[in-house]
Amino acid sequence: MSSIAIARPAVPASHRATLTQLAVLEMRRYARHPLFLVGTLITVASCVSRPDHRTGSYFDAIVPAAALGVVGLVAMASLTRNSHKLSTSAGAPPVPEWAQTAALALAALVPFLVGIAWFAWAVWAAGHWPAPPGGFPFGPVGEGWKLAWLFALGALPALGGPLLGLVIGRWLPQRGVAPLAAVLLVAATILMQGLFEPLRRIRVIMPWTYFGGPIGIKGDSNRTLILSGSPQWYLAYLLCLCGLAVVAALGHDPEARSRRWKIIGGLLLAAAVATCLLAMWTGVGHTIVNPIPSSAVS
Amino acid sequence: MIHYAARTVPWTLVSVSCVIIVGLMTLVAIWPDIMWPLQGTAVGLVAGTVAWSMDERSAAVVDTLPRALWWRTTARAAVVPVVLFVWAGCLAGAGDRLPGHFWFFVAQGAIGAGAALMVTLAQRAGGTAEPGRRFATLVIPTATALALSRPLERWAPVFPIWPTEHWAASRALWSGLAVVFLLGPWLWCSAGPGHCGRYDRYDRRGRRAGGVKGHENAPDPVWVRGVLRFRGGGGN
Repeated sequence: MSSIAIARPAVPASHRATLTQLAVLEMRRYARHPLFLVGTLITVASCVSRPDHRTGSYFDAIVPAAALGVVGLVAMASLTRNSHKLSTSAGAPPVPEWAQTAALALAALVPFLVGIAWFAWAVWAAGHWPAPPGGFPFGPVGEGWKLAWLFALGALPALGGPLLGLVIGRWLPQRGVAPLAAVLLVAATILMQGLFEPLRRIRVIMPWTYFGGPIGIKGDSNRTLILSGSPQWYLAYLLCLCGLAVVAALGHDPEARSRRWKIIGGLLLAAAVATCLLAMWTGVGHTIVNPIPSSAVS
Repeated sequence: MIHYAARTVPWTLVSVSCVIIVGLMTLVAIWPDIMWPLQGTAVGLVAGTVAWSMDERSAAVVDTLPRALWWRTTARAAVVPVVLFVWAGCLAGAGDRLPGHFWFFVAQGAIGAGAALMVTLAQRAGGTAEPGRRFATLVIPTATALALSRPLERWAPVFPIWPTEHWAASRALWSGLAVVFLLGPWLWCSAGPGHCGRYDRYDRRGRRAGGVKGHENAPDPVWVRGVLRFRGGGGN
């Protein structure tokens, strides 16, 4: 009898090594995705010009939120679908689905890094071009409030958008779902950004909302206001949503739905509800109107 | 052709998109100052909807059938007037609640739809089965991001709203986009049969034939000739 030695591909020693390799691959794919490049270009272009003199860099937070978050949602959904196609076309998938999902979740760190770079620029710009007293922010808000605003509305959507895209890519991979979901999310977010008074208290449920700005009052349509709520707790709420998104995406693989997965999901859900309520009812108690009229700000 | 269009255009997706376009533009009409970013989003959706309709998911099969790509594309292009009718209807319905540039806004939608048609047609002719999916994935979020973030709005606003903005610069920008996206793919395909020439030789009814005027002697791409030889066919 003769024995035949079959050359086997090198298998990493542990799941962690496999996950690291996969994550690096997915990060490279994300970094080369045209939508990520377009989003980064838009974000960089916005940093070239000086922010609005009345609101500083605070209202520029919409740029990374849209260009890295909304765009990242569609980009990640597309990557997830393509990864699934690749793994299924290989016959028996070489790694379990949850490992692929975890690697894709780690790839969301790529846009998040760009978001953090924007955050660093925004903090510098806010100090370099401070808003006048009649501008925004004003009055009784501290450094923590301001930093939480910039991080929650500028940097964190660059992570949250792609993670939401991962959930959509796993659970609803049908054609058109991710772009249409992004459009509907934007429409709902604009409605809930605090411009409509009856919705101001509950607006923090949405994954993106303002905590003030030149919203206006009767007789002065550009007067700056500070809205109720706590951006610090809102930041914690968004982090819980990011964690829930990862848990939901991992849960698409029946293998991953262990007791531990359920406990983590339950804890994150409870924390999300608690932090959302805290963001709603703590911090600034009621809407504060800037005593200086907008006409005084040149 | 009508039967073909009815069977192959993803009408459910088109209908959902049209409903969303109407919804977005209704919000814009009610609160134009606040909801204006949704106008740019809707333009992206117009382009994306047209692009989705150009996908041929069974390209490997239909490319071997007698009907030519231009015939199939003409049938699928039935979606363009539908989407543009919805778009123009939304703008007309909003009336004077929108800035007084009705034809400019209509042109934005038409350029978006035309660009989607031309780009996907060029890619489809190059052999890509689902170019619309890729185009829509790019154009819808990019339009949304541009409408929300308005980068470089002082110089060239992509989706202007305020009377003080550079409407002339925006018109020039959209005219440039029209030239690039409408003429670019056409010029690329006209450069030679190597680019889009796989589907050049059909008769007037859209069936494969020996050749058409101007392309009688156009050779197949090298790889097509190789496949034909491998199968025992001729090739030219």
